[in-house]
Amino acid sequence: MGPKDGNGEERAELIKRSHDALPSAILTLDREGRVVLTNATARRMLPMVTPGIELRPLLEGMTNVEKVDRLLHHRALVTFAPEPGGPELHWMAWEMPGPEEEMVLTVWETDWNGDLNENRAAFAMAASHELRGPLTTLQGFAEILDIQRDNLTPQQVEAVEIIERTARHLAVLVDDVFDMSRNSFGELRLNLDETDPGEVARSVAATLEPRIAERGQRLATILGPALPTIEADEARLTQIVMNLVNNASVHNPSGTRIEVAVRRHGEAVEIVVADDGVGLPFDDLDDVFHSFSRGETAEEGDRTGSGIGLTLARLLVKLHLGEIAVESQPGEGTAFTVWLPVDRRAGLEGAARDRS
Amino acid sequence: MSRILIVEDSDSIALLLRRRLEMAGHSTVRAGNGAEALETLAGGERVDMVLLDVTMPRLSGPEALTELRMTHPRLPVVLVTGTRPDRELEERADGVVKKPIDFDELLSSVDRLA
Repeated sequence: MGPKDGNGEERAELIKRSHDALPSAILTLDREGRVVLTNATARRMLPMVTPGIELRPLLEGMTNVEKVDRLLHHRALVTFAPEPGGPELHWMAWEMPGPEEEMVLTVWETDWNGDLNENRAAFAMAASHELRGPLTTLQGFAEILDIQRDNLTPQQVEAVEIIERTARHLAVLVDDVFDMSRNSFGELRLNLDETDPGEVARSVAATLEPRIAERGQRLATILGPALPTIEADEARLTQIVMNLVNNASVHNPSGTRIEVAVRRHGEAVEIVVADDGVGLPFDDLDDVFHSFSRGETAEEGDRTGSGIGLTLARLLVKLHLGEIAVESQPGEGTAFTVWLPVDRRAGLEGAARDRS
Repeated sequence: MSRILIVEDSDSIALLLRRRLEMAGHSTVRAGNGAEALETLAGGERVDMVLLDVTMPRLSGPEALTELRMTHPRLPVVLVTGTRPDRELEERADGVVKKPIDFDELLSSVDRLA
């Protein structure tokens, strides 16, 4: 055996060890679709896949035929759990270069994506923090010009007002992004206290009423009798109602009537934000709660027109152990309903019975 | 009218604070970080109040606050912060103002505390 062969063996050993060190499972198949090689991760993650076994029937026992076809023939990334109730795995297939038509499958845990998401959330959180500095400067100096507006031409006043409005809009977006990313780390916590939901509705109405009137819309607040206090984070509850009312205002034309109704409903407090506007364009209404589903952006107003405000509202409702639902008819309007438990420890179960 | 120590590492935000405080008739002195703020005060500078940024190089806001409470226990300190501070920090300060700054709120806490 010459030194060259010795190197070959060493290389083979090195390749095998590198193969085993990979965090994803590697399965090498021959042209018949039989498993030839597995690495250490594959043996741990997929103990049922042993050398010599035909892979396709095995996969068909784990998931549906379409997924197996997409994986093996279309080389698509597919996701399924090898065992019912077990962790989901990502699967991907590559053809090996060479005459033998061999194939390599890589299988990895979906948590890897979780890591990626966590990095994205960390980035979003850092970015929203960093953005606040320049935003402070921008908004602050625009305000200084605004205070001195008597020295400005009408066109300069207009420019300053647009800068101020846009800076306010940006500040709300930055806050929303910050809250969403804080939640990814479980850092979005509630400061719970006895909170008067009627008072929250009244204060939101007082804050937003001028801007809604400017758009030629009307806002009414209706408070039911004997409203209990609830254990809630007042600032967050205000944010929920504010997001819903703003959403109704931004997406509807002049002449729309928006109504905020708060009433007791069994063991829950029910907050309904309804409008008689254009209705929602979604086939699946739950889509409104998914981030960024509402693609267009509002060119004016403090609240974003994208889905992030609604996504955040739902998140905050869930943190209060509440529920949120939406009903909408094109041309007739939209109603968002939030249920919050009066007794947070008892939850919404009693309330759910009352609703059905 | 009061004299305010602005502790802020960003030049543009420090200038913004100075302009708005001067427009309201106050005078200001500036430090670029917590360590500089302590040096300024140790050098004999007399101020009625401190506006303290939270994230800064060389002695951050929370650290500077701890020092200030020892060296100048009666000097009012308002935090100017880009994030919601935790409760413990909030309770140690005389006030918290969030960035972007609401100047109505900031100027009224100056009138109240300084």
